[in-house]
Amino acid sequence: MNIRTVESKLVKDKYHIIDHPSGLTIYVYPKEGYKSTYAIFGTNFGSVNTRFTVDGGDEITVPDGIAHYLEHKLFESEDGDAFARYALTGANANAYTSFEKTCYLFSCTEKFEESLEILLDFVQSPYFTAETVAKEQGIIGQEIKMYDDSPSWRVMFNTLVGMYQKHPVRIDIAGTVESIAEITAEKLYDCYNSFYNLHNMVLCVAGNTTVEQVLKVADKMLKPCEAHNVESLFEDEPYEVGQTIIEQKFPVSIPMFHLGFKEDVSSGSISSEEAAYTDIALFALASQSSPLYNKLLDEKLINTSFDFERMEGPHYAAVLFGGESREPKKAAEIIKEYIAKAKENGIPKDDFERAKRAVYGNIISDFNSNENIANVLADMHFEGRELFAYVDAAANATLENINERLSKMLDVDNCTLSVVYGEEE
Amino acid sequence: MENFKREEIARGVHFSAIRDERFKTSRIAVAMLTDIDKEKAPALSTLSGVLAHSCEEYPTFLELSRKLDSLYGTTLTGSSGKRGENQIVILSASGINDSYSLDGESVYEEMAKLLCSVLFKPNVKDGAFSEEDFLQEQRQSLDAIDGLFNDKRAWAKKRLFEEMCGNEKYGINVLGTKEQVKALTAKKLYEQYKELLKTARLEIICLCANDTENVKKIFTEQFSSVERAVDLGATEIVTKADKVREVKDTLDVNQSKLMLGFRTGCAEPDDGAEAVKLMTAVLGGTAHSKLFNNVREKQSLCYYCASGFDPLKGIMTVESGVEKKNIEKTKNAVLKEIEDMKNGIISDEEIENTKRSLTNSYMTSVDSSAGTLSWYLSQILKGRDRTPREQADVISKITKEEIVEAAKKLSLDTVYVLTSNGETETEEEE
Repeated sequence: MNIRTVESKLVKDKYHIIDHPSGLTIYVYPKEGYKSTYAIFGTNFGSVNTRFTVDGGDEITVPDGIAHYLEHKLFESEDGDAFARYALTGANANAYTSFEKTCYLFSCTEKFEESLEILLDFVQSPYFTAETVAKEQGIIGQEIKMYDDSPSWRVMFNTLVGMYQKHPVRIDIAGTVESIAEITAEKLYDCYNSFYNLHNMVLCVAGNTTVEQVLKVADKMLKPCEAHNVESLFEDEPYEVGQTIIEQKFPVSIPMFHLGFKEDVSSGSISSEEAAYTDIALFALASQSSPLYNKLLDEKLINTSFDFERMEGPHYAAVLFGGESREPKKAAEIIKEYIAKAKENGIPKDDFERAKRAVYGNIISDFNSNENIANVLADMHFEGRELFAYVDAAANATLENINERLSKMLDVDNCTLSVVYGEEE
Repeated sequence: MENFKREEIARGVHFSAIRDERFKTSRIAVAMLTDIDKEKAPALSTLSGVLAHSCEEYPTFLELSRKLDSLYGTTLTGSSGKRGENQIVILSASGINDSYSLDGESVYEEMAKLLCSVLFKPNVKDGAFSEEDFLQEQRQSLDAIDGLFNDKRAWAKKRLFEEMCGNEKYGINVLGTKEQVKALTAKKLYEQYKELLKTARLEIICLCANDTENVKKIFTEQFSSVERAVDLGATEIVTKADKVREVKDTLDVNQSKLMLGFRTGCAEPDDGAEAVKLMTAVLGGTAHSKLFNNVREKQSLCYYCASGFDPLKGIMTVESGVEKKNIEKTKNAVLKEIEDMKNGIISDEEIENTKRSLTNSYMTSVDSSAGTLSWYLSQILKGRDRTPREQADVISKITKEEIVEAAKKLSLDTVYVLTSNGETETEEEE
């Protein structure tokens, strides 16, 4: 078994990567003095993986929202549900589905080994029947409706709908009430057998634990499996956004907006270094200490809810700016103008220095949390990046790195403005 | 509580130091408590924003933000909320430990200085906050009031408390109304600020790996010139509801929100509140609770159905998001679970599982710096000094009889429903 240790002088921590004989990659990040342990077991299967082939076989198409549905149903097994088993260890368990992955997690302060055993066991033991599948329709139906009433969720999703013409990232993670009605036990098994393969999964554990402890449970519980070649299929997505503006009327008292920049993904996903440079560039452009933020604030076009984020997955990448605004269109114009100018003239040196220090400081703070650490390790594993390399890149970034990175992103002629607005606006 | 030291540095001002070397950041919080007052509440809420941004040394938002970012993204935040029937304003700072700074400078000391700077030397002209700072935060407050409506789950909760506690201070929304916020001035706010420093109960808490003597000294000096007099009232506890009030709002929503508000007849510092905590968690505080298993899993009525308890006020709430046609059915399903508890239908397993779950959440909460600080602050304000372990031990000793007794004291006060306008075909179902 191959165990590598990665150490960081800056973070003053280390973690271990284990290539387990079962085919699973395991990350263990011990945190001295912590009482709790957080574990996350995830598969590289999310809402966008709705068309795929296995070992070159026939194309399989599954209903929208099936990854999320599977997440709900995996908690159930023939002899009860996983929550009931966790109840005996005291662990606090949960799961989530994103565009590109599904993760099952728990955090505990006692009986860690028993809790890890439960996690590894139920995720490897699917049990879907017509009855159990039918029962979930009402529950997930209400989850979908809850999100339908959330203006912050809608404004974000509408941005993706506007930006992407073909890519399934434009479809809600939970699907629709109609699409989930088509989900059957057979289809869940099709997905499970294709994507829930240890070679396509990752286990990350952070906190009060050791490699020995994790391996003790992993050796006992992991069922070695053969690697399959699962290929997700995506239609060709044009470079251009589908719609430059997308609006929805909503019961809100203050409009919300997102300005989404569709990023070029023709050269694949970005490296650890590029990720760090992107984060510094975005911070320099739009954080509270940026001239842009202060201009928007002074002109009463945003309030302190204004924020930005970048997102990336298979064949898509985007940067979103947004928040509440009384005049979303005016705010969006100023953001675009400012970005165009920054790309032309480069980011000022002082803005860069500050952004670099702030981004570095924020990253260091994130290492306080077991939850953050385990989740970021899982993200980076699927994205093919390394956590400490990302920290080093942020700490050692130069203004040239940042401006070079900026020149390749944020095309102001390729963005979508999404607005949700109330009755009176 | 080990590694914890609290001392009075001025009348009604305490300084607490928590030494913890596990974290990569340090954190200082100044908590200011006053009686909640309908007229003053919006001013204090707006003031919490002004305090975090108004600084004589860095007079504009841009300058202060630049200073904070160059200190490795140190944060300075002001917040205001309700704690029982007190209003609490918290000003806090957080930044990385010196050992992580890239050029060896002291982030911690600079951060402490900045916090004192905004607290004691805001940007003031002629007995008023600078007009710019004031207008900026006034606008933020107005937007925050509008923003409340955007989140329907939070909105439903706010509406429940307005209806249920309309005649109690607890029903006051600290953000106030837009009219109230519009009537504020930079001068009025400055007077509120002066009064706050004089009359609020103050708790300063410093969580770090460093020595805290210097920080304590700065605060001690600052307060030596303030004439202090604290007068903090107690929270009124309504022990029983006379009758059930039913309130319905209609809006263009996809999902209806159901909120139930109960009087539990028991609040802290009464020891009985611990049994209510456990009872609430058995009912709907976990993913193996009665509500989760029976209302969500067995009947598929909702995605969330959860109970919560405010131990300071003695109110228990149950909230759920449901189909319009299922509102009545869900309400009855929740009430049935409560009836069961009153009749002693609670298994030992349910009790033990919930005790383990609460223990886990207490113990986990202090594995973050914000969680640690808030644990200690809450202990101080309760006049206790329990560690998470000690709190877990208190819970673990509660018996089934005590849980049943707590359930028997529940009285439903208000049923609040937020639903859509349209017709519903099967409203009378069940």
